[in-house]
Order: sequence, then C-alpha cells, then structure tokens
Amino acid sequence: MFPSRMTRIKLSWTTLPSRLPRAAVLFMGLAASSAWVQAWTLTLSAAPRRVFLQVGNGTAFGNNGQVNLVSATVPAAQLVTGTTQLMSSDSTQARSPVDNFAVCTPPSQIYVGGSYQRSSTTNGPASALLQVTSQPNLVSATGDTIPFSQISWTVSSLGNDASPNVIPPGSFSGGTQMLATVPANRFIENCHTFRYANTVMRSAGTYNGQVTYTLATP
Amino acid sequence: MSLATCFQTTGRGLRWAAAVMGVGLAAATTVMAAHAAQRLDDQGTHTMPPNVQMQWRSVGAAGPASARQMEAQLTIALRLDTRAFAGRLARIYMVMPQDSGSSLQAQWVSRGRVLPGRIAPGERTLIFQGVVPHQTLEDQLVMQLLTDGAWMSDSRRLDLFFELDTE
Repeated sequence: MFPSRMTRIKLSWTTLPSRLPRAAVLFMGLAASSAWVQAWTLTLSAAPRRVFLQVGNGTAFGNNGQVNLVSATVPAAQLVTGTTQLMSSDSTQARSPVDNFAVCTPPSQIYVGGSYQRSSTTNGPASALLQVTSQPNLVSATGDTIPFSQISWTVSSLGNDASPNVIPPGSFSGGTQMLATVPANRFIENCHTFRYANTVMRSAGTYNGQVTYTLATP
Repeated sequence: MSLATCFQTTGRGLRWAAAVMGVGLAAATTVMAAHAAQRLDDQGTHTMPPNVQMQWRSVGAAGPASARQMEAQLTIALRLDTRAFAGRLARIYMVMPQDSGSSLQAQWVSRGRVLPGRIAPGERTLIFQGVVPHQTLEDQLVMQLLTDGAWMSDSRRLDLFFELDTE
C-alpha cells in the first residue's frame, strides 16, 4: 500500500483559506505463494511492504479521505505590506496516531506523519521518499492567481521528539519537491505551521489551491 | 524402523527367531515409550491456506508496538496417525523447534478434542490427554500467528511436529 495525502490550500483576499489533506491509496503486491507442504511444514510469507502517510486528520494505518483546509484572511490594512499572515486550519489532529502522544497544537499546526515498513533487507529498498506537489498558483473564481510560492511552512513538534526537523521548513514551489527520506521501519512525524507571505497585489476574492503529499518506495 | 520391517528383511530360517525377538522388542518398546516421546505421523495434516501470507498489524489495543508486528490466521486440518497407540492412555504434544528467526507466537482454538493452547519456538505444548483414538486423532484448529516485523528473508518455515507420551 502506498498512500499519499493531498492538501488543498485556499487563499482568499479578504479570506485566505487553504485546504489540507486527503488520502489517496496506492497498492502493494503480495509475495509469491509456495506449494502446499506435506508433513506439516508451514511456510510463512512476510508481509508486503507497507507505507503509511497522514497529513492532518487521519486513521492510523488506515485509509481516510478527509481533506483538511488551511486558510488565512488578510485584513485590508495589511494588504501587500509584507506582513506574514499566519494560516489556520480545520485540522483537529493533535495526537500521534501511533502512540496517542500529543505532538501538535491544531488548528495552527497540521500533523504530518508516516512510515515505511519492510520485513527484511530483501523486502524492499532501504527508504521511502516523501514529496509534496503543489499547483503553480492559487486561483480565484475570476481566474486571478497567487503563486503557491507565497505559502511557506515551519516545522516543530511537542514532546521529546528525536527528530523534530525530519521534514525541513520550506515554501511550495508550484511543482513537485522532495521533503524527506524516510528510513525503513521508522515512524516520522512533524507539525507544520503555514504562512502566507502577503507580498503580491491581487484583486479581492477567494483563492483556492491544493497540494498533495506523497510517500512512496520505488 | 518398525518390527514389521525387521521381519521382511530377515531370512526365512531366521523368521521364527526374529518373531520371538520381535515380541521381546515390542515389550521393550512399550517400556521405552513410557519414558520417551514417540513422534507421530502427521502427513495427513494440512493447512488452509496452504501458504500463509503475513500482514502488518494495525495500531490497536496492543499499543504502538503492534504496528511493528505481523500476523496471520490459518486453519489447520489436523490428522495424526495414532494406530500404534490405539486405546492407550497418552499425552500428545505439539512441538515447535527453536529456529534463528525473530520472535514468533502461535495460539489456537480447536473445534474438537484437541486442547486450545499457544506455542513459541523451542516449546512443546500439550494438545491431547486421554485414551488414544484407534485410527487417527483429527480436529480442526484455528491458529493465530504473531511475529516480530524483522525477518531475515521474505519467507520463513515452521517445522512443527507432534509427539506422544504414553502414561
């Protein structure tokens, strides 16, 4: 199974929203079966590789179609001032789906966590790749656009996270960009806080866009 | 090698003597059986499915560690040849030899005379106690397998077998 999650980001001029995440599920092959063995020798085939990714609300090691929304509203007095606008979300995912430990503080923080599992060194590559794909622009109903690069994120997590910055901070590129390499049999999780740069002049309106997070192995 | 095999490989002139010895050997075997386990013929046993496909566990009541484990369920159509011990009081055990694989545990329930239980590599678990059936001991077991997620290869073999101790 190679799930990915999609995040839609909406920006509105007087209302600058965005959306996070939605799950898309890929598949995993089954190991070849062997013949029935006499004299009661039992042959076990290892579980196929498993990839799990959750952005925002989700279900531990299960499929979840929810797409969360991240948004910001720029007050008229601050339009194009370059004053960064903190974005909020409708995510309620505060705890790790794995151990229920509190890691994020929604709605300002979006949970991002995932893992790649293999049963042995012959069962798949040593790591999986976490990527995010954004559209070039957020688009309004009238066709006006705001570059997705106006939206950036910082990373943090609560507790004694051994790898708090496994996903580095950055901004969307308007294409596909690599976020992190996820080693086999290790669960990573971070909390993302999104911001709108507020440096472009556009007509009033609601600007929507979507980003997709993908965790996959070759 | 059974006593019958001894007969057939002995020359004609020695058959009577061999038969007499056979009685003595049979008696000796009986005495030994009281102290040593007899491995039972289990070639009539098979599993459904014949090859077990493990799956990763989800996070559940077992806590976060369970996400690193693999599990599977199978049905075992157990058929043990007990003719040599028919009518005797005995104990039958399932044996799982120690191997070099990661931790593993199997537990089962039965639909008949076999006792429910659990077993791990290197262990021997009682599955039957009483008068041995005349032909075969048959039952259907529903077994749950649980293993650590770190294997040495993509597959693993369990060479389970059964032993009988007479009382």
